[in-house]
Amino acid sequence: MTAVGIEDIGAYFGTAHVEVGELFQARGLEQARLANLLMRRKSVALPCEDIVTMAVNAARPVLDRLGAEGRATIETVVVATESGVDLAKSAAAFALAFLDLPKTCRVFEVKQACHGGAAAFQMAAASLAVSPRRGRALVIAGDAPIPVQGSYAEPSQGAGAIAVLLGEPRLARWHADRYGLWSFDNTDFRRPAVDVDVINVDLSIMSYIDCLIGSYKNYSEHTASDFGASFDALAMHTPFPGMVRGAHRTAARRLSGMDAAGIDLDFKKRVSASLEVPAEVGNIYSGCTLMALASSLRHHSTTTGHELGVYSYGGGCSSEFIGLTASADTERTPAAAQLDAALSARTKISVERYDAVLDVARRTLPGTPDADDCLRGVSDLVTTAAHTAGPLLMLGSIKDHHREYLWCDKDMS
Amino acid sequence: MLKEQLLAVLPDLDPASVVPSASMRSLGADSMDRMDVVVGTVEALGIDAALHRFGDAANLGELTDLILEAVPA
Repeated sequence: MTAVGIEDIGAYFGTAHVEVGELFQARGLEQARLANLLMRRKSVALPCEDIVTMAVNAARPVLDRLGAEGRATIETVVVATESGVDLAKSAAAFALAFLDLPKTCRVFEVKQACHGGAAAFQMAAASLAVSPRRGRALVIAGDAPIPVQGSYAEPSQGAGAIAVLLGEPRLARWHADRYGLWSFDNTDFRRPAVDVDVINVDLSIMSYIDCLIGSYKNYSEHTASDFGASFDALAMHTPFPGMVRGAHRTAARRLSGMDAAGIDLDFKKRVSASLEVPAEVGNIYSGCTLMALASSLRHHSTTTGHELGVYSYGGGCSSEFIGLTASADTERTPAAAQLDAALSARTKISVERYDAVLDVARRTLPGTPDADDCLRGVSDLVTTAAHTAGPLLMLGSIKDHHREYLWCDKDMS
Repeated sequence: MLKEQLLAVLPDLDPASVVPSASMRSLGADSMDRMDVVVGTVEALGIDAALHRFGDAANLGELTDLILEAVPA
């Protein structure tokens, strides 16, 4: 079997963000609840963005670094999302037109709520490991939800995508036998229409914890692993960072018998690095786990490499615990620098402007037959982001259900 | 036990407001507070059951019933 792992990571977190504290204030939400959220900012999707543009904008930096020769070895492009733009054609197939990839490529879309990204990651890595061709795979995961204005979910509903290039294990090594599974039927989260999220928060949180413990126990049955000792870092599905803190608290007590002081130390030592980026972006649904993984590699870097436990959960529900081996000095990689750049490319906008963006967000929802000039009123945010990020793909218009995309750069008039 | 956990998580709560028809949400508990109350209660009672079975309770009365059903004999 071929050695496989994460070769590179790309990120796109939109062109704008709002301060979560300002949003709490504007909405009249109880400030006391802000502390349990552990969020600082959240990314905002523009009407000219959908999962295709976000996937392409996340992948492009990785493909630029890879070069033409490397791009020719990519044999799988998979997009995991809950915001597909078409019920038949995958977001990956749409994205292919803008990624300069070979025709010798399989493209498809994956859906299993927030577990989609990790599920795609596992399947793509396994396909590479058993193939004699020494190819590469591009796993992209993300989401562009329509925020529920005025709800307590709104401050954590972000936007963005993560692109993970699987191939040589430069950032982390994947292991075919290091996984644990736990799934059962529940109804904690559904998206019955593109702009309707139905969530049972309590059921979702309880199921998340059940699955963390269940998938980890399944993992340890096959790997003789110890939750408290076998991993130097942990990255978990992060709908909001406070959720991870709560789940870690319960799992550390139940799986390792840690006391309150030990749990607090363990959280800071092993988990907090994975929350740095999610605290700036918010919930990107299918992309959450891969974003937490990227954040951990960026902010928990060691000189010798280390073991990294990754937990993914998706409503409905399905989960997986994955063991990776992180490489040395991951903070000093192009992926780490680009992760920082994807955050700094965004412009801070006021809640008033954020509301103005939301007012027109439904103009371009998947299923919309026609929409003209999708950049109207927001082109300044796109050109500002392009100064840092380079050319960005945006939705220009929709004509008879055909989405027309265009590249926007910093000099766009 | 449930009331005790709730008052531990929300110490400023008026104990008289903790009645079966009240929901933790209406009493001001956020999602993480509610998780701590449920997990704390089932652990204190030695219940070794999946937590998601307690996720559908609409109020404290329903939650109490679900917890009582899960208490080991």
